[in-house]
Amino acid sequence: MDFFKRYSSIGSQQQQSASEAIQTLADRVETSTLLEDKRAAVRGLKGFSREYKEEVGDAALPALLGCLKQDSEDQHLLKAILETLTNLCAREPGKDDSLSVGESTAAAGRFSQAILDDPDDVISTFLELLGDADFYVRYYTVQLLGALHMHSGEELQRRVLVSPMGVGRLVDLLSDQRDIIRNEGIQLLIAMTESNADIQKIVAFENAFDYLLNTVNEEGGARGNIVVQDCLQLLHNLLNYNVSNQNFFREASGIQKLPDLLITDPSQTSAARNNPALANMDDDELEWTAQHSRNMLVVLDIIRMLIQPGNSNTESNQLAMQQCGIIPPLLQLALAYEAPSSVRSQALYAIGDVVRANQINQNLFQRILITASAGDEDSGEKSIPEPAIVIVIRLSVGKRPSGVPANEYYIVRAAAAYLVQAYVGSNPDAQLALAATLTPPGDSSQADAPEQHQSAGSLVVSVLLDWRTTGQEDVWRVWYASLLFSTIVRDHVECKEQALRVSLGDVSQGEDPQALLNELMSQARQAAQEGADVRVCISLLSLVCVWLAGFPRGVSVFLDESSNLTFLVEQVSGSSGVNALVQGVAAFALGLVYQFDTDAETPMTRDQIYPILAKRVGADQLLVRVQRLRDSKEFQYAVGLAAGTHSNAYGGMAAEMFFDNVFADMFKAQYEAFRQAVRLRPHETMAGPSYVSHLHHQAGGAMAGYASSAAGTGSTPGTPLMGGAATISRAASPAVTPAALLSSDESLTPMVPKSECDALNVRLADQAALITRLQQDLAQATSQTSDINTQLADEQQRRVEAETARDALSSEVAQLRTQLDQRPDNSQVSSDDDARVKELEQQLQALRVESEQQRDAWKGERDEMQKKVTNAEKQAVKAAAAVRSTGKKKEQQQASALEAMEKTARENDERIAALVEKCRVLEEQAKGAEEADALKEKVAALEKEQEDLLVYLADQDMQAKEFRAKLRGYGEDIPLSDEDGDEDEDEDEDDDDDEE
Amino acid sequence: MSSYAYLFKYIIIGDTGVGKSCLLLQFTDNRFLPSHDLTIGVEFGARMVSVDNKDIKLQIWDTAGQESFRSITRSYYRGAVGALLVYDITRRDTFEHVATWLEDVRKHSNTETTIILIGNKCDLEAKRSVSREEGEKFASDNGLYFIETSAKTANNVEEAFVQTAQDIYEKIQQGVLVVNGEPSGVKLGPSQPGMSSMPNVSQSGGLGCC
Repeated sequence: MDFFKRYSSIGSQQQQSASEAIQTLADRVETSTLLEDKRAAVRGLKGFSREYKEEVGDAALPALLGCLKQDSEDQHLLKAILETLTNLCAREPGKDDSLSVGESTAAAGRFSQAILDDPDDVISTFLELLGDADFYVRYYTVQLLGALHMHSGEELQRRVLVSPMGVGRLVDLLSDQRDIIRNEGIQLLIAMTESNADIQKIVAFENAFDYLLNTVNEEGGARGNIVVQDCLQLLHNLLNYNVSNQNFFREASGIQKLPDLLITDPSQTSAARNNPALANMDDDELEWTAQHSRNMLVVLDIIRMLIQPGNSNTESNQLAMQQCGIIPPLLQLALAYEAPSSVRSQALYAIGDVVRANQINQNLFQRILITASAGDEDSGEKSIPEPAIVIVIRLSVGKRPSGVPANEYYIVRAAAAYLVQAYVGSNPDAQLALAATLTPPGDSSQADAPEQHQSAGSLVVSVLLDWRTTGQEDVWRVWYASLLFSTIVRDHVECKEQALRVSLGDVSQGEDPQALLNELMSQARQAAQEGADVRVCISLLSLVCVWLAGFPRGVSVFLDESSNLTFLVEQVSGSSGVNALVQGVAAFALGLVYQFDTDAETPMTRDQIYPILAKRVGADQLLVRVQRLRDSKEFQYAVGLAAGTHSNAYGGMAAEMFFDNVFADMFKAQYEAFRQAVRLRPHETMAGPSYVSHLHHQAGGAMAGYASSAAGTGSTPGTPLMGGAATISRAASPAVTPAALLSSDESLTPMVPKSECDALNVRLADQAALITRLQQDLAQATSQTSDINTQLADEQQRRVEAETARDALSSEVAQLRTQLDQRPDNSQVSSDDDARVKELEQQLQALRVESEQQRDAWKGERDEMQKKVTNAEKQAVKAAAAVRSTGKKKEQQQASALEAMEKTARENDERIAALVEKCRVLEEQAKGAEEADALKEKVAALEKEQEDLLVYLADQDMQAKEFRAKLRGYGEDIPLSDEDGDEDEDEDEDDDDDEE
Repeated sequence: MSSYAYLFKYIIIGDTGVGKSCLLLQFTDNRFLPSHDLTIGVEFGARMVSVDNKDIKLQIWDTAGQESFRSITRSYYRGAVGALLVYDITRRDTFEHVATWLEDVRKHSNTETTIILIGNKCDLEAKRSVSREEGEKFASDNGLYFIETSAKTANNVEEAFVQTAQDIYEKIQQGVLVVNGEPSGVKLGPSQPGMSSMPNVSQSGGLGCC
C-alpha cells in the first residue's frame, strides 16, 4: 500500500506510473494461474480502487468479475474482489480521491451498469454469495448490492426477481445474528421494497413480518434505537398499497402485535414480562426522545395505512384492531401530555380511522370511560371516569398544555376534531347524544371553571361564548369549537332543534332569556366590532350558516332578533374595512336566511326580507360577495380538507385554515340552489333538486301532497267564490296515479306558445278598451235619453259575463294546479311545492274575496245607478221635450250611435266567448303537457291573464267611478260616504297588487 | 381470537386459466366468480381447517399462471410446504404442461413438500379431454396425490386442501418435516391462544443458523 501511495503523492508523472501499475495488476488478475498471485494482484487493485477509481475500473473490472466467478471458493480472494467492486461502485468519493464528486458518481454509475450488464449474470453469483457464512463476504456483498441498487434500483430488482432464491436470501439477512449485517440487510430491503409489489409480497412470504417484529421487540420496542425505526419502516413498505400483504399481515396475527408497540411504558408490554431488563427502566428513560417519536410515528402510520377509508379490507382490519384492544393504548398516547404533539395527533387520527364508518367500533368507543391521568396539569383533584369522547372534545377545544405553542398544538386539536367527526359520521344517535349536551355553561365565569366539570357540549358552547378569553389565549380553541358545533348539528334536524332550544340568561335573576343562536350572532357582531382575530367572526358565522341551512325554524328564531339581520347587511354592504372572507360568509348567511325563511311562524316574512335583499344589498352584490368567498384560496383550502386531499385533513397549514370542512361541505351542497334562491322573488319557487332536497330534509322526510278539488267549484256568476277556495283542501294521501297521467301525457299536444298568450292578452286589452268606450258612450246616452237605460243594463250584464270568464279562468288555474300536484314526476312532492301551491291558493282566495267585495260594491252601485238613471230619465223626459223641438237630426244621430254600440257589444260578447273557448283549449293542452315545468309556465301565463283581468276589472271600477262623477255632473246627489268606501277598497286592492 | 396448532403455507400453481384463483376463492370465501381477473403476480388467501381434531391455519399463495410471471412465482416454492398443481380437464395442453410444472417445483422446493395434482372443472364433463385415469396415472407415477375438483360447484375443493393438510400433518407426526425449520412452510401456532404474543426466544432461536 505504502509503496503505491508514494506514487500517488508525486504528481502526474507518478500518476502515469500508477495507471501503468493498475494495468499490470489487472493483467495479472486475468492471467495468473497461481491463486497467490491473483490474491496479491487483487489486493493491489483494492489499494488503488479508492483513489484511482476510474483507472482501476476501466482496466480491471472484467478481470475482477471473471475471477469472482472462477475462484469464488477462495474466501480471501472473494473478500478482496467484493471490497474492490464495492469501492468502484460506491457513489461517495474516497478520502484522497482525485475525482470530483460528479466524476466519482459518473464513474460509479458506469461500473455499476457494467456489472448489471455482465453477460454471465454475475448478479446471481452475488445473491448466492449472500448465503456465504463469512462475515466480510456477506457484508461486502450487501454493500455492493446496495450500491448497485442506488445506481439502478429497477434493474437490480428485476434481476433479483429472476433468481428464485434471490429475495429469500435477502430476507435471510434479517435473521443474521450479526447486527451489522442484519442492519445492512434491512437498509437494502427498505430500498428494494419501496415500490416493487412483487418483492414486497415475496419478502412478506419469507416471514419478514415475524423477523421484523421480533427485532423491534428485541431492540426495546418503540422505545428502541434507529434499528427499530428501520424495521418499522420496512414493515411500512411491505404493507403500503399492498392489499395482499395487508391481508396476510392480518391473517398472520400481525395486527395483534401492534398494540404492544404503542405502549409508552415498557413495563406494561407483554415483552417486558419476558425481559425483566425492560421492566426495570428508570422513569428518566421514559422521556420522549426524538428517536422514540420517530418510531412511534411509523407505528401510527402503519396502523392508519391498514385502515384507510374506503379500502376493501379496512373493515376487517378495523375489527381486528378493535378486538386486539388497540384503542386504549392509542388513547393513552393521545392523552400523554409529555408526548410530542405530532405523536398525540397521529394517535387521535388513528383512533378516528379505527372507528370511522364502523358501527361496531363506534359503539364500542362510545362506551369507553377514562379516568384522567395525573399528567393533567390542571387537575389537582382526582377525576371521575368520563366518556372518552368528552375527553377527546376537550383535547380539541380545551386549554393547551403550558409550553406548547398554539400553532404547534393545533394539530392535536385538529386530530381530535377528526376523531369526533369520524365518531359522529353516519352515527346519528351519537350525534344526537352530543347535541343533548349542548347546554349553557353553568355560571358566567365558565372559562375559569375546570373544564373537567363541563359536558362535551357545554364546553364547546362556553369556548365559543367566551371567545375573548379563549380566543385571546388560543384562537384555535374557538375555531375548533365552531367546527365541533357544526359537526354536531350538521344535516340532522333533531340536533338543530335541540340546539335551538338552548337559551341563555338567568330568568330567576331577571335576565331575559336569549336563544343560544342569537347569542352566538351577538358574539359574532361584537367580535367584528372589536376587531378580534378574524377567525372568531368567521367561525361563528360559519356555524350559524351550517345551523340555519335547510332549517326554517332556526331562521325564525334568528329573525326574532332584528339586530342579526342588520349586522349581516352591514357586513355585506360595507365597501371597505370589512374583511372579504367575513363579508362572504355574512352574505352567504343572509342569503340562507332569505332562502329558508319559510317557517309559518316567522316574525319576518320573505316579503319583508326581500326589499332588504333586493334593494338595500342587491342580489347581484350578495352573489358577488359569496362568489368571492368561494374563489378565495382560504375557502378552496377548506374544500380540500373536506375532500381529504390534504395529507392531514383538519390539521393542514395553520395559516390557510379559516373555514372548516363542515362549512365547506354544506356550502358546496347548497351553492347552486342558493344562487337561484337569492334571485327569486318572495313567492317564487324553484324546482331545483337541491332546493327541494333541503326543504324535504328539513320537513323530516314527511311528504304531503295537495290534491285540489277546484274542478268542483262551479263558477256560476253570483255564487260566492269563497266556497271554491274552501274546497281546495289538503288531501289525506299524497298518492298519485302516475299511470293515468302518463297515458294522457302520451296524447299530448304541443304546449301553448308564449306568443299565443301574448295575443290573448292583447285581445283582452282590446276588449277592455272597447268596454271603456261602451261605457263612455253609455254614460253619454244615459245622460241624454231614457232609452239608454236598457243599454246600461246590458253593459252591466256584460260585466258580469267578463267576470264569469275570469272565474272560469280561476277554476282552470285551480285544475291545472291539481294536475301539477298529481304529476308522476312529482311523486316526491315535497314541501316547497306544497308551499308554492299554498301560496297560489292564498293568492287565489284573496282574489276571490276581493272580487266578491267588488261584486257587492257593483251591485250596490248598480242599484244606485238605476235610481239615478231613473232620475236622469225624468230629467231626460223633460229634456227630451226640449230636445224634440230641436229637431229630428239629433235623434237620428243618437239612434246610429246606439246601433254602433250594440254592434260593438255583440263583438265584445263574441270575443269573450272566444276567450273562454281559448282557455278551454289551453286547459286541454295543459292537461296533456308532459313536463311539470310546462304546466308551471302555463300556470304563470294564466296567472298573468288573471292579473290582466284584474287590471281590467280595476279599470271598470274606475270607469264606474267616472260614471258616477258624470252623473254627479248631471246634478245627481251622490253621497260622499260611498265614495270613501270605494277609496278604501281601492287601497286594499293596491296592497294586494303589491303582494303579487 | 384465532388459535391454531400449526400453520401451513401452500402455493397454487399451473397454467393460466385452469381455475387456480377460483379454487382459492371457493375455498376461502365459498364463492365462485365466473370471470375472474387475470392474477397479477401472487395473491394471498387464508383459512382454517381441522385435521385430527387440531386446527390448522392454511396460508395460501395463489400464483399467476402466465409464463411472464414464472420467475416470480418460483420464489414461493422454497417456502411452501404444500403445492396444489392444477390443470383444466377440458384443455389437454394444460395437462401436458403438468410435467414441466412438476419439474419446476421439485427443483426449487423442499423435498418434503406435499404436492397434489388437481384436475379442475370436472363439472364440464361434456368438454372433458383428459380422462380421470390419465390424471391418476400421472400422479401415481410421480408420487403425487390426485383429485378432480370443480371450483364452480365446489365439488372436492375442500377435500383437495384438507387432504394436503392431512399429508403434511402426518409428515410432522412422523418427524419427516421439522416444524419451524429453515426454510419451512410449517410453523407452530401461537402458544397462548388469544394473547398477542411475540414468538418467543426459543422458537425463533433456531432461525439464525450461522
